[in-house]
Amino acid sequence: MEFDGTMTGYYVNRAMKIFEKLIQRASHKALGDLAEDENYLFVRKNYLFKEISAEAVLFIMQRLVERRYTADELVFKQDNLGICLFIVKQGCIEIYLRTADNEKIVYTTVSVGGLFGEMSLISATYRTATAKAVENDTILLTLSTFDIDALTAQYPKEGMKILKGITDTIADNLISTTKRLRTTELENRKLQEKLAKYER
Amino acid sequence: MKDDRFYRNLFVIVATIVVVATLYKVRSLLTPVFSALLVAYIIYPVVLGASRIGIPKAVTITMIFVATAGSLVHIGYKVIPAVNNEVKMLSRPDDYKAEAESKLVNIGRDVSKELQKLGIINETWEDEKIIRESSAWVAEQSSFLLFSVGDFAKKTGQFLMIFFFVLVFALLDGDKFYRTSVQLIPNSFFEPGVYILKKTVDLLGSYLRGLVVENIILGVVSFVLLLVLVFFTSLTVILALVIAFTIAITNVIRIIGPIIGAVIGSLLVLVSSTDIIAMIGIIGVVMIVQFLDNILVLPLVMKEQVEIHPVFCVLGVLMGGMLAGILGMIIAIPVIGSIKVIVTILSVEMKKFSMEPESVPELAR
Repeated sequence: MEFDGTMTGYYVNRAMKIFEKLIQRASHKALGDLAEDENYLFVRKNYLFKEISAEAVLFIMQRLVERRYTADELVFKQDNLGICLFIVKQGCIEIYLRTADNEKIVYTTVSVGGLFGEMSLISATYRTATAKAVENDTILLTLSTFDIDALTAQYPKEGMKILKGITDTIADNLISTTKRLRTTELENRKLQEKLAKYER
Repeated sequence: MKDDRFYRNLFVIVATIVVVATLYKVRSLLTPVFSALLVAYIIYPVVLGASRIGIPKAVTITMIFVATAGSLVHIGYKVIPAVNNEVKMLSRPDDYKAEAESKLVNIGRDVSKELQKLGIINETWEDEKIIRESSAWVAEQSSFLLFSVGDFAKKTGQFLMIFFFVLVFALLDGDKFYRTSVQLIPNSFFEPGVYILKKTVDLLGSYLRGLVVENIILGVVSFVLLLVLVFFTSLTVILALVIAFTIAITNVIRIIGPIIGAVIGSLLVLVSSTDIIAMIGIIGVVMIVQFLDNILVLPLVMKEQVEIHPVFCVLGVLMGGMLAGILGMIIAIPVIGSIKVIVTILSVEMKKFSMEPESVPELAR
C-alpha cells in the first residue's frame, strides 16, 4: 500500500510494513527450524519429495506422524482400504502376497529411506499386498491421502509433482508387469507346444 | 494368558469409572472447556486459511478477538441502555414478579372484557379469581426462567476466563490436537483409525459450521420479520434486534429452542410494554422462521445433515440442562450430533477394514 500523504495513510502504511515483517520473520523461523528436524532428510531424499519447494516440505513435515512397530507386526493388510504412504526411518518392512494355498510370496523388502504404500495417495484403493515389520523397533513416517489433498489445495504445483512421481512409478510397474506377463505367456506357449509334441 | 486379559479388562473398567467420576466432579469446568473447543473447531479453518497465505496464527487470532470484542462492545453500547430496565428488574425478583403479575392481570381483564362484549362469558367473581391465579402462576414461571438467565450472567466472568484461555490454545495448536489424536491410534487400527478420525472431523466441522451459518441466517430473517412488527406495534428496533438474537441463539436447541425463544421474546415485550399484538406477532415470527428453517435453510446450509430423533433431542436437552445449565442445553444437540456422526462412521466405514491376522486374501483365491 502506498503512502497517500494523509495522516491515516501514513499509519496504515506503517502498520502494513510491520505486519509484512512479522509474517516474513515467522516464515523464516519455521524454515530454519525445519533444517534441524531429524525427519527432514528422510523426506527430502525420497524420490517423491526431492523436487518440491521448502515450503511444501515444511507443510508435509507438519503432518508427518511417526509410528513404531515390533517384529512381525502388520502395517497394513492385503484387500484393506489403504489411505497412507509410509517412509521407513528405521528397520525393515516386508511386502508379500499369499496364494490360494496360503503360500507366502515375498514381493519386496523396504529398508531405511524407502517408501511404500504410495498408490493409496492417488485414490483410496484396496491394498494389493500385506506389509509387515521384520525387525523390532521399526520406525515408519506416515502421510495420509488427506494430507496430500491438503498439500495439493495449497501448493498445486508441488501436489502435481508428487502425483506425477506416483503415476510415473505406477507406469513403470505396469510396463515391467506387462513385460513379465508377455514373457511368461510366450514361455507358457512354448512349453505347451513342447508338451503337445511330447504327447504326440 | 487368560489372567493377563482379565487384569487388562479390569484395569480398563476401573480406569473408565475413575475418568467418568472425575469428569462428573469437574463438570462445571468442562462446560467452558467444551464450548471453547467447539468454537475453536468452528473458526479454526479461518486461522488455518490465513496461516496458509503466510499470516501467523497469533496475528489472525488477535485480529479475530479484537474484531469480536469490538463488535460486542459496540452492540453492548447500543443495546444495554435499551435493556437496562429489564436488567434492573432481574436484580429485583419480587418487584419483577409483582409487576409482571399486575400486567398479566390487566391483560386478562382486557381479554375478559372483550369476551364479555362478544357474549362468550359472563362477569363473575370466579373469572377474576382464575385470572389472578393464572397470572400469578405465569409470573412465577417467567420470573424463574428470567432469573435462571440472570444467575447464568453472574457466572459469565468465570466462564469467559476459562473459555478464552482454552480457545486461544486450541486455535494456536489445532493441528497438534489432530496429530496427537492420530499418534494415539494403535498400530493394528492405524489406517482405519486415521480414516475414521478424518471423516469424523470433516463431518463434525461441516455440521457445526452449518449450524452457525443456519442460525445467522435465521437471526437475520427474524430481525427483518420483527422490523415489520416495529411498524405496527410498540416493539422497538433495539428490542427487535435482541429478540432476533435470542431466536438465533436458542434455535441451536432443536425443538425446545424455538419455544424458549418465543417465550423469552414475549417476556421481553411483556416487561417493556403490555402490547399483546406484539407478543402474538413474536410467536408468529418464531413459527414462520421455524417453517423457513425446515423447508429452506436446513437443506441448503447443512451439507451433511445429522438427523436426530425428537425424543433424543428432548432427552438430550434436558440432560444437558441438568449437567451444565443453560449452556448445557445449548450445546446438547451439537454433542448428540457429534456422537451420532462418530457412531455412524464406526458402524458403516469399519466394514471396509479388517486386520484379522493372515486370512487368505480375496485376490489370491
